[in-house]
Amino acid sequence: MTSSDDSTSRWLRRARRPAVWLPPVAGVVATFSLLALDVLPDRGTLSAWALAVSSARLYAPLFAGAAAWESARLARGGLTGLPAVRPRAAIVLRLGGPLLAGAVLAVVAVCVILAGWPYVPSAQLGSWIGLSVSAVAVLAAAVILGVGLGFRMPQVVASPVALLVTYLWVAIPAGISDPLWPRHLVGVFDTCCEAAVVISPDAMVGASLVTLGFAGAGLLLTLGRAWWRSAGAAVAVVALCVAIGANQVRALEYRPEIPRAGAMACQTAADLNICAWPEHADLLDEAIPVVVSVAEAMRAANLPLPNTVTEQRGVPDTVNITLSADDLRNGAVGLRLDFVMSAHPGWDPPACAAQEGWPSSVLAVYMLVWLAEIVGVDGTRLGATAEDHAAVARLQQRPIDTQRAWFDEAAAALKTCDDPDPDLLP
Amino acid sequence: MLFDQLTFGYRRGRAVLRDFTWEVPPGRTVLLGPNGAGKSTLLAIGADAEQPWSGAVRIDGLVPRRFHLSRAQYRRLVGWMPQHIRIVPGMTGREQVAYAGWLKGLSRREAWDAAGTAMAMVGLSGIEDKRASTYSGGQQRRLGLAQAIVHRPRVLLLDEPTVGLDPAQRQRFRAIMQSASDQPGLTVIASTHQVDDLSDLYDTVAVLHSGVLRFAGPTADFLAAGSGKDQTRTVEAAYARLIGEDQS
Repeated sequence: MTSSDDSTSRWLRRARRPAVWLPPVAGVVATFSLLALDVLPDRGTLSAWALAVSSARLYAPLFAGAAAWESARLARGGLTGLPAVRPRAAIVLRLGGPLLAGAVLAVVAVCVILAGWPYVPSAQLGSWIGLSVSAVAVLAAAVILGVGLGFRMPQVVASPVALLVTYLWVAIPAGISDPLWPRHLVGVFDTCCEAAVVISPDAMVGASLVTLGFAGAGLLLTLGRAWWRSAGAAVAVVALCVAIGANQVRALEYRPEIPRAGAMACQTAADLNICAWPEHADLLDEAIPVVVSVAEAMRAANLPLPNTVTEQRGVPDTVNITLSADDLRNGAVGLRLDFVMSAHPGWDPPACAAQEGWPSSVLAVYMLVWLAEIVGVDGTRLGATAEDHAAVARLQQRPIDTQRAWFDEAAAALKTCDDPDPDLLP
Repeated sequence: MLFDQLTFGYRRGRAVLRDFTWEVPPGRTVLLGPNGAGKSTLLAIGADAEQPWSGAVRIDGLVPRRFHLSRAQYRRLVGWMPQHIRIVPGMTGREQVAYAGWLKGLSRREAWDAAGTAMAMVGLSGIEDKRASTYSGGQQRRLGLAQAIVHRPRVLLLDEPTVGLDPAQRQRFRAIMQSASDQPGLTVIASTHQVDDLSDLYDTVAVLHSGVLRFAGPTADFLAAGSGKDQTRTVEAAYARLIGEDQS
C-alpha cells in the first residue's frame, strides 16, 4: 500500500467517525427546524442567541447515542476491560471529547446563522455566559451519559437507550404545560431573554443540578465495577438532583427570567420620562414621537397614564415598553400596544375563574379593541372579528365620557366571575 | 514477580486461591493445570484485572494499590493476553493494538508506531490495516499477543495463548511467542491445560491444581518427576502425578 493510499484510508476511517459526520448533519437539521419557526427574534439579540443555543436540545440525544455507540464498540472489543494505565476519565475524554467538540461546533454554526457572529452582548453578559455554558454542559453531560451507558450495554441496546434517556431529559419537560416549571430543569432556555430581563439564577441553579446529575450518572456507570450497583447509584443520583433542582425552579413561570437592573438612557418629552436600555438608546429619537402621540391620545380619552415610560420591568406606576427597530419601522404597533396593556393591569383571570369560570372575559376583547383604536392601532390586528370591531365602532360614536365610564365598569366586571351586565356589551 | 499470600474468590466464602504464594523467576514459565485450577484467575490478578481479597502481587516491590500512583506504574509493567480475544467492531488490527498501547500509557503517536512494530513481531504485517474482524482465529490470537506486548512490558501474562488453534497454528504461535518474548529481563507466564504445550520454549514449569501450587521449578526437574520414558509420556506422567491423577 502506498503512502497516499494509507493516508486516504486513514482519512476515510476518520470520516466514518460520528464526531466527523454527525455535527454537519445535525447542524443542518437544527438550523432548518429553527428557521421554520413562525417568529424569530431579531438577530444580534440575546433572545436570538438563546434560541440558537437551544439547538443543543436537538443535538444532545443524537450525540449521547453516538457516544454510547462508540464506547460500546470499545467495550465489546474488550479494551475497556483491560487494566489500563490511563484513568477512566482520560478514556471518557478520548471517546467523548471529539463528539462534544463536534456538537459545540454545530451549536456555534446555528448561532452564526440565527444570532450573528461574533455576538457578545455588552449588557446581559451574565445571561449570555449562563445560557452558553449551560448548553455546553448539557451536551457534555449527554455525551458522558452515553459513554457510561455504552460501557455497560451491548452496542445495539446502548445507543437507543442513551438516545431515549437523553430525549426524555431534554425534550419532554418542554412539552409539559402543567406545571410549567419542569422545562427549566433542562438547561436549555429557548424562551429567554428579551432586553428587559436576565436569566433567573434559580433556573440556572436548578438546571445545573440536573445536568450534573446526568453527568454524574454517566461517570458512575463508567467508573463503577458492579453493573447493578453502578446503575442503582446512577438512578439515585439523577433522582436526587432532579428533586433538588425541581425545588429550586418550581416557583418560576413560563419564562425563566427576572427583571434586569442597571443604568438606563432617559429623555424627557411631553411631561414623560422615557427610558430605554443603553443598547436601545439610539431608538429613542424614533420612539419618542410615537410615545408622545400615544400619550396625548390616552390623555384625551382621560385614561390614566404614569409619568414614566420605561423598558425596565417590575417598576410600579410605569408604562412598560419594549423597543425594537423592526417594530418602529413597521408602524410601532408593538410599542403602542405596550401602552394598551399598561392602561389596565387586570387582564389576568381572577382567582375564582379556575372553579367558577370567567364569563366576564368576553368584555376583554371589546376593551382591548377600544384601547387599541385610541392608541392608533386597528383593532382587527388584535384578532378581533368584524362583528366585535363593529360593536366597538358603535361605542366610539358615544361621547368620550360615556366611553370612559363603560371602560371603568367593564374593567370592574372583569375582576369578577359573574356574568357580565348585558348593558356592558357594546 | 511475586504472588504474596493471595486469597481470592468470585463469590464470598468460596476462595479460588487461598494464601497463595509463588515467586516467579525471570524467563519463560508455563503454568499447567486442569480446567478450573485457578490459572486464569491468577493471571488476571497478576494483570491487576482482579483485586485479591487479601495479599498482594508485586513486581520489583511495586504493588497495584487502588487510588495510588503505584497502580499505574505496576500496570505499565504488565502485558496481559486474556483467554478470549475480543475484536473492536470497525477497527483495523493496528488501530486496536494502538488503542491498547495508548491505554497502557503510550502517547497516541508512540502507540501507533509501537502497534506497527508489535504487529510485525507477531507476523501480522501486511494485514494490519484490515479490519480485525476479518482475521482468522489464529490471526486474532496473534492480535491478542500484539496487544499484550505493544507497550514492551516487563512481565507478559498469556492466558491459554494457543487454545482453539490447530496443531500447525499452535506450533507457529509458539515460534512467534518465542521471538516476541525474546527480550532480556522479560518474565513470561503462559498458562495452559494442554500438556503438549510444554516445550523447550519454557525454562520453568509450575503446576496449579485447585488453587494450590503443586510444583514450581526448572523444566528438567519437572520431567524428572515423570516416569522417565519418552518425553511426551514423561510430561503427561509428571503432570498426572502432580495433580493426583496418576493411574500407575
